Amino acid sequence: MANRYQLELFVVAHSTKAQRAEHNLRRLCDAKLAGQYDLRITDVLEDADAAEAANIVATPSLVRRAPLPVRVVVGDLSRRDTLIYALGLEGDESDADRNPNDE
Amino acid sequence: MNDVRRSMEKLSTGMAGFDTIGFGGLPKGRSTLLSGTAGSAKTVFAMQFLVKGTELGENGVFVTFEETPADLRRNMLSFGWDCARLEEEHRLAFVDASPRPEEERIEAGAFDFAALVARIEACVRRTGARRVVLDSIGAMFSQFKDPAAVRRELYRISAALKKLDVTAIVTSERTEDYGAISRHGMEEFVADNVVLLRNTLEEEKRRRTIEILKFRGTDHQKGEYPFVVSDEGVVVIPLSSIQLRQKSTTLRIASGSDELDAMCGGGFFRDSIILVSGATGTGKTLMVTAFMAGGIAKGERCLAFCFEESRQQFFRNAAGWGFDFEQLERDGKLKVVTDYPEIMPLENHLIRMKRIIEEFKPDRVAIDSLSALERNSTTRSFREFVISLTAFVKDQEMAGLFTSTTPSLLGGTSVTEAHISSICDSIILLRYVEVYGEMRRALTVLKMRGSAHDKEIREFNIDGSGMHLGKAFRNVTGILAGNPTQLAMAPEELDRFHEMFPHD
Repeated sequence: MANRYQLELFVVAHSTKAQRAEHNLRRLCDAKLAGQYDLRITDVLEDADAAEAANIVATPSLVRRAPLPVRVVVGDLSRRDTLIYALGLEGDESDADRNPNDE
Repeated sequence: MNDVRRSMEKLSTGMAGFDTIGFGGLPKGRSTLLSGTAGSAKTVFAMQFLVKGTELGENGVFVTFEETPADLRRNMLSFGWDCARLEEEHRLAFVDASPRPEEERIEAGAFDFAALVARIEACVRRTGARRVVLDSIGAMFSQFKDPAAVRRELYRISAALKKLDVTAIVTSERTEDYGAISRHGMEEFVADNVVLLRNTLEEEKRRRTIEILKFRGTDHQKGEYPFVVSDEGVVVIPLSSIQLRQKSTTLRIASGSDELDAMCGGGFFRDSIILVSGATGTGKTLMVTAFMAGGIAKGERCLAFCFEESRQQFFRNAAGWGFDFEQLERDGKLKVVTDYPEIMPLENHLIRMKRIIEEFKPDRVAIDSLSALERNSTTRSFREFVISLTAFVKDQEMAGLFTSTTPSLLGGTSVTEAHISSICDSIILLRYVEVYGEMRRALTVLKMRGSAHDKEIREFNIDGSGMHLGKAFRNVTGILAGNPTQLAMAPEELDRFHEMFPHD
């Protein structure tokens, strides 16, 4: 599907912040982007090269590679409103399947 | 115990001047905060630390928070540092934490810098780096909103660097050259060692200085030392240290005039600095010419820096006194360097002159004149210049003859002399004397460190064959004060008078 969300979450595996970030992200995406997103989780301690390539400084960091523009959301994603804004998911549940770029 | 001893160890930065003021370099295995205002050469200093390290067989990692690696590679080429080549050879690596303009970064909750730490650690392990630079951490405060979190996380990086046992330079901005150490209170982050770079405006001239504010548990030179940013990077001028190791010799060398040699008790000393002071036209350039010619006649290599005359003028004058300097230069026995003092700051002149001296390896060096160089500097820079240059010349076991132009035609001293007379080993004064409606020239040896000398004020003549010393001006007093007065005494009476005060 052309407009799938491509997301990568950089974390320190098994850390509290990692668990919180993944939980917050999945809860939002499952509600708003069910079946329309790919999420990859990268442990920066295991794969520092991937963090280097993506210029990741802070953990957790969520990179939205698609749709463009690329956005980086830093933190444990506990600020739900900021996360919704950052991912471009403003609007109510019924709009969830709309392409955000149409707005 | 082991840890205490290790803290005293220094790591040579490979920057000679800095190692001198740091008593060997930077504290090894520690982080040093390098703080300075915008444009104070922090990045150049930091990169030089890594590049010099690679020359000593130590690899380096440059973590950049502000400039992109591409910009750094390009900028550093102007100092002859080929970062790209060093990267290919796995001796240098960048960790790029510079902001990407095309990416929008949004904060949504608690974070840490574990990713950055992991990248630095991976890079240090991969390259086997012993040196790390973080440039500049102040940028993190603009990239992230929560300053408390940034400070806490920078502390995490500091701890990680310590664990990696690398020697690190962490740069940080200051808003003023004399004020808080760094903008975001970063001295708490790496408080052990602090180095300050300053770029101040003094008497309408830029002046760069470096100061080691503290090295925890180990000693260093105190105070500010001038430095320049030259085409080979930061060059620190370590003033006080070079003053300490001056040798001295009893070896005499010819001044180029037998009569003057006799007045000086047998010639100048090698490793000595001779100051020749006089108004314009009193024969200073001739003294320089004779000094050069006298050296060449004895098979010595001679180097002259002329800041008042062009090469052609200098050569023409020498030819007038019977010396073919052009031929001597072609033969490689003489080198004449002419420049306008204004073409560059005095500190850069110093670096350049030292380089020419090191390349040509002369036995004698002349500067005509110091006063011309002084026009182009602040009082303090000028004094530092003279101290540094004289120490350098003596250290190389050379003789130096520097001229100084007095502003008034009769008597008087120049500002130049006030600053350098104590540094010079010998002082020769050239003065005009008005005698019965005629201008005559006088010469006296005012000071000759370590030797007896003639204390008479002798008549000094210049003709087609050079300089000649005549008889003493016995019937004139007040020459040096610039107020010559004829004494109406019979010659016999004068002789008696002089016998009352025998020379030592």
